[in-house]
Amino acid sequence: MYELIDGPLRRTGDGYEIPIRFDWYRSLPLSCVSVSVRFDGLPVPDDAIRFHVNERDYALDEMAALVDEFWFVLDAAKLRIRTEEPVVDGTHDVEVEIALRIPYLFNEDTGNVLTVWSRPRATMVLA
Amino acid sequence: MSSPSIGVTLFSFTRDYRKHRYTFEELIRKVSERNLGGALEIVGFQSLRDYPNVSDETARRFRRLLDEVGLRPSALSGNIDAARLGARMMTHDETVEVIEAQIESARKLGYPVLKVQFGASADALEAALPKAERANVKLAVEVHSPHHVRHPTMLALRERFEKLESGFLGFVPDFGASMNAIPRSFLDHWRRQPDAPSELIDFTVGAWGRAHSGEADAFVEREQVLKKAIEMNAQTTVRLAWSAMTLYGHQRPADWLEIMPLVFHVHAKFYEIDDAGNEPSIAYDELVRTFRDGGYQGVLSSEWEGAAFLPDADALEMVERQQSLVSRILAS
Repeated sequence: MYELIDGPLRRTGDGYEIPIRFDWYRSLPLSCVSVSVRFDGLPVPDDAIRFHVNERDYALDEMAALVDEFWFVLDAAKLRIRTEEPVVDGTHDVEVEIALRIPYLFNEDTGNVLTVWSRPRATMVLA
Repeated sequence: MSSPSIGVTLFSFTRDYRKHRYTFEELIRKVSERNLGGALEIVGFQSLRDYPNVSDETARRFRRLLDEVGLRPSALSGNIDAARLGARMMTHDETVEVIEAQIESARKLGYPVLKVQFGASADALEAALPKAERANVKLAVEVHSPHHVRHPTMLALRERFEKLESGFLGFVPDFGASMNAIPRSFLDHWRRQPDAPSELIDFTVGAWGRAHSGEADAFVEREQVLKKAIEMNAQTTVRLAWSAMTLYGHQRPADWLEIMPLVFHVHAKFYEIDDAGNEPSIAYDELVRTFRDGGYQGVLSSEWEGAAFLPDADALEMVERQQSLVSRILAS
């Protein structure tokens, strides 16, 4: 198993960012990736999250259409989260759900496509 | 009559690659140093950042490296991401487009065969055929469990390929389509997971057995297992339930003979090698002899898929041991 929360929790200009990786053997189009976050036990609204990969930020609701933009298998992405108030220093409980729709593994009869979930969780320190 | 030759796919080293233990280039050098066969397969979407539209520069560097270390390209492993959009499947035109892009990448990289997947319909493959012929790249649909040579999807392809007689449309059999058992290491791994209900695992083993004996349909059994996993809120092990019912196929080894003239490449899948040097979950003796005696003269590409279940095993050593087994059978 790889560490799917991969690296330090960092403060940004308007919030914080969480580095994540995914658990599959090949790169996937962003259209196949969904994420959600809980921070200190509370769900983070989707519209406060931007998915940063390939040196660009994407809103979660624009990812579904991005079939030609790939999350390369070796890269960490960053979840950049905007907060109303600055996050306090110290220890935080970070939980991410990553859902990957595997675009070539489907059932021809039912149309069901395999989705794999991971739920990495980490206690991270913001300093 | 000449025999099949031995090669390897870099898929076998996915764990080391993902953990940044070896880069793509370092893995190629390792394959050469350790003499893991002379024919190299790579997975486009794993190894190359610019896949499926490989640049001239990427291709030039790759070809130079293979020349330098003395390996030849066997098959480029492509993907047909037919469900890349959540809302709908790829259209015919989109499918042709993604096949053609990957043919072009195979040509640039020097690959004589492009492995594609069942998401490529007979119509789409036929439409891409002129491009494949011009590029001198054969298109080969992987026959991967839960598919098998008599699955309706494969029968439709066989019928079209036989009708077209192009010499450019064929198959890549995967040994995982003809297994004896769910690998023990897989079941041990599943049981070690924190939220894997033993009831679900037992149910799955029973379902696999029913499908294997022919008592029940494998696809129907799989849907039941997945339904049960969701009902039990075991989402994080759905992947394992799916694997158990999908990756470990029930086709008889001798059935590969039905498509032998259309076989362009073979995935010699394996999970574990026991102390006696055998793969206990796959009938290697019968499979390797079936391809040899059936007249197959291409590459048996070693594909280790057991890394997740054997965390301490060394991938290079696993491939070495599997290739000893294959060599032993080929020589027998």
